Parts: sequence; structure tokens; C-alpha cells
Amino acid sequence: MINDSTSLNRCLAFGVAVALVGCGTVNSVSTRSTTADSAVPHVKQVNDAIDNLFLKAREVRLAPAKSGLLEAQVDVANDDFRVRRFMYRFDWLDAAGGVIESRLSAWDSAIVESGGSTTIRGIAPTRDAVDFRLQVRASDR
Amino acid sequence: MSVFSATSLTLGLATSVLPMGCGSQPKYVEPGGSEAIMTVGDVDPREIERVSLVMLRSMMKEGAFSRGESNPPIVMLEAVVNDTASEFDGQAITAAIFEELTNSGTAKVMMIEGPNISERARREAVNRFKETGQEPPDPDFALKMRVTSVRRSAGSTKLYTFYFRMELVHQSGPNLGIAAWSKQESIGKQGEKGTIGF
Repeated sequence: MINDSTSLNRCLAFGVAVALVGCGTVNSVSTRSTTADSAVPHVKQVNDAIDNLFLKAREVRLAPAKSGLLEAQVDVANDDFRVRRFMYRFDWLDAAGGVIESRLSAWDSAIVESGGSTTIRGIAPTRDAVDFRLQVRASDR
Repeated sequence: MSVFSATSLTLGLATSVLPMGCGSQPKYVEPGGSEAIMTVGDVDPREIERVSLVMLRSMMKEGAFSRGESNPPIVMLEAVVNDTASEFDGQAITAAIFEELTNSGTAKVMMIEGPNISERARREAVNRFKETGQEPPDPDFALKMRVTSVRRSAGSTKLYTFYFRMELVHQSGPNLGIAAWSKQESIGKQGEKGTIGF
């Protein structure tokens, strides 16, 4: 009886392991436990935008890049059991709130493996940019 | 007999109406959007838009153009070398970069088209300056791009991987011939045939 139970548990564990490998699930771990110095308090607003894509924003950062232009970074995690594909676009705003027209404000695609995460990035076209606007939409390819 | 004729007529009508219903009307789409056609073995407008964006984003982020001798630097844009079997407009990528660099004031760009035309374009530029009695400026950088591809198949499924390599090379000063910035973007496309829409 004990032997049967052990065998059953082993089979179950093996089955779960094979299923996870089959789904391509990513296990993530990070050594950082505090928020970044460049983090901005807009995670909730980003989550409201990407919630229907079954994705979660972990952190939003906004800081000057090496060139001095502002760079936005959003860490997006996929806690779902399916690979998620989506498109995103950063529009940049000047101090007066106007949208700066630029080739850098174009749709880009991203893929997040199940259990994994990715960082979507946008770089400001000029030094006039002070804020950004993020748009996201689902995509299946 | 009349029942058979009626059935045939209904079937005939249905088969003639069906293709019309399934056909899609032409419409405007965003070339880089998810509604655009996607093929397996070719570089599509969607990829051109993406590569332009990725390259621009990287060179703007790294501040590659601030490493030139003059400010804003003069950039010589060379023709895209296409080493793939796919026919596409490589100038569409460099034109997007030309537009952004020029309009943002990041660099002064000399647009050069066609393979091995750099010297001719340079002579023409020299002649234009001679007419005005000025000395032509030396470019600070040359922006070069090469596209290659690898094709693999398993049964009827094909995988095409396109590699887009771009580099910004010093054309004057102590760093002549040395790359100031470089970026490679790879795009993998797998499937049996192209698709449209979501």
C-alpha cells in the first residue's frame, strides 16, 4: 500500500515536471529586493492598462540614459500558463503636455514566456521630453 | 426531379455567395501593426518598421553621435547591403533613421543611395561646395547596414532568421575606421505560409 502510494506520487511528480517542461514555463529569481532609485509610482496605472492581457507590471523606471535622453523601462511579468504576445508604444510628452512627434513612437512587439518577465523600453526623441504615455494591445504573433 | 433542381440551385447559390462573404475588402492598415500581412520567407514592412525602431532606439540611447568631431556630427548614410533572397526596400530603414536624426537635430545626414556610390556622391558634394567657394565638410561617421538570413526546415514548417547588423564607423579624427556604435537585431519567422490579421 505504501509502495503503491509512493509510486503514484512519483508518477504525479514526473507528470507535473513533464507538463511544466512541455509548457516552457520559466522560473524566475532576482537578487534585488528593493525598488530601483529611478522607479516611479505608476505601477498601478500600468497594471490597469495591461491587466486584460493577463500581464503584471512589476516596476516602472524613468531616468536619463547615457545620451542624456530620458529612458522609460517597464518590467512586465507573465504569471499565466500561456506564452503572451503583445504590442506596445511609448509616446513622449513635453513640459507643456504636447506629444512629440517621432519615429521612436512606433508600435513594437514583445513576447513573455509563461512564468517569465521582460522589460519594455522607450527612449525619448529629444531632451524636451519629460513624461511618457504607454499604449498596449494584444497580439497573437 | 424538381426537388433535386431546387437543392442544386440552393447549393450553387450558396457556393457562389460564400467566397464573396469570405473575401476581405481593402482597407488602410498600419505597416508595423498586427493587422498587416506577415509572410514566412520575406522581410515584411512590419519588420522594416521594427528594425528601424530598434536601431534608432539603441543609437539614441547610447549617444553614439556625441562621439564625433563636430556637433552635430555629419553622418554619411551608406546603402543597405542585402545578402538575403528576400527583395525588400532597405532604404526604407535608412530613410526612417535619416528622418529622425535630421528632424531631431541629432546629426546632419548625407543621404547616399545605391551600392558603391559613396565616392561619386562625395565628388558631387565637393563640386557643389566648389561652386560656392566653400570647403566640403568631412563626414564624422558612416552608417553601414547589412542584412543576412538563415533558412531551416522541418517537414513543411520553415524557419527563416534574418540578421540586421548596423554600425556607425568614425570617418575622421583619431578614431578613423573604428566603430562608435554597433547593433544586431535578429528576427525569426516560422510557419508554413503567411497570415493576415490577428
